[in-house]
Amino acid sequence: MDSTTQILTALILLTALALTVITTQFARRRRDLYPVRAIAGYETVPLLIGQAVEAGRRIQVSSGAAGIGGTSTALALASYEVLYQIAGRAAASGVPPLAVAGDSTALPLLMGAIRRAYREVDRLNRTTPTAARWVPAASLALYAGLVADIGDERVSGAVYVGDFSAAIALPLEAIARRRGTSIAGSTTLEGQAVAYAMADAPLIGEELFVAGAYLGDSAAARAGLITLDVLRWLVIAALLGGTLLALRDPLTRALGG
Amino acid sequence: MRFLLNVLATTLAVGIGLTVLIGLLLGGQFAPVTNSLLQIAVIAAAVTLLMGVLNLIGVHGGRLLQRRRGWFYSFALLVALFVVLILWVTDQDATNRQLLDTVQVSIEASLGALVLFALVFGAYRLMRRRVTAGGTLFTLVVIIVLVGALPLASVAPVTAVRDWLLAVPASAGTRGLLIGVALATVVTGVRVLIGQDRSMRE
Repeated sequence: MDSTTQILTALILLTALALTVITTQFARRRRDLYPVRAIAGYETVPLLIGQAVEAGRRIQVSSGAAGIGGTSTALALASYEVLYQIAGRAAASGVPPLAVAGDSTALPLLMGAIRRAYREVDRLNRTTPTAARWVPAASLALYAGLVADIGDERVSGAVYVGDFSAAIALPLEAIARRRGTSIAGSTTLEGQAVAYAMADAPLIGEELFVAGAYLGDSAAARAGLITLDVLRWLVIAALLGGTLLALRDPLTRALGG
Repeated sequence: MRFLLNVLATTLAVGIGLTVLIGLLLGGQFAPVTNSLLQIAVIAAAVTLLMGVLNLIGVHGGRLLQRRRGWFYSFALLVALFVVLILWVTDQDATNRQLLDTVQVSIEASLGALVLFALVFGAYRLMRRRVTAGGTLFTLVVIIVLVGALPLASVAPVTAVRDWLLAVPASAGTRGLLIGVALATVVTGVRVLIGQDRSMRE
């Protein structure tokens, strides 16, 4: 890592750190401090859970190829949060969600999300070790496994938040054929494009990472959302500033000439 | 006891996260410590692979024993798993590769072909479900990109539009998405570093 990258990385991290610490304090004091915009993906979650509870069927949640220890660690944590929120809501129904990890390192994480959600409503004895399962993400095996589980485990809806390729079309199509509801988003461009076209409610880009703020009640998650928005505006300002600086000389020449 | 374990897990996550971050930023004398921690992470990942295999056997073994829906596929999966394991233990690489080429590759090729049909179904469903401005634009762009990719002289103007679409709006959108994901990754990482993330406590 060269020195410029080191300085920039440290600067971004320190800014994010300072913003997170400050906004957490404000978010703890006032819950309605920051009005959030509606995200279709998260607004669909109550409908998804309602359908599953009514039909006594399961909700499939998958993190795709995201795992702990690599570049997709944050994405695996985002998937954990989505699963935790859904499992907490579905716990009362007695039909645990079906979590599928494509990377074995995400398996304990997804198991932990279900256990934590069930423990919080005193239903830990209702969980099984196979509520979260591993289907290797190598090639198309993960997608074949997701499609097979949709049929075999009587799945009524699906939430795919993670690292998916264009083959996410296969499980999304399987859900659509069963008239189920799907929410999907991916950090890979191919997966994102297919999710946008085929999911009932797509999640796009950074929306994947804010489930805690939209579905949960944690001040820390809301603070994370505010930090993310502030950072985004800082990047927009930097891009606009850079564009204006780059245009300054040609514009001066054109106007002067 | 649970509280103490939570505190221990959080302390370890924060401590190791900070150490690795400092090692990456400063390098030099921190490099050996960072490398050792990364090696431990690799070993932990290998252990989770073993957990994954046991989980796979548990899920499909349970389905087979209880004769639940799809039990025959679970049986096929378990047989395949043990055959491959036996071939690996007995060092029969050639047979293993032959199985991979004849079974795995052909099944994957069939699945790959199915993806195309699923995508066409998706495009059809997009317009059938909600005819919005975004959906219409999406379908229009897909058609232009597909037609522009045809190696015909008569579609040269469409090819020029396709190239512009890929070079300018698609590239800008891609960068926007990636910047958004990168910022969200930074915020998630910071939340882990200050102990706000609860995922490692279970």
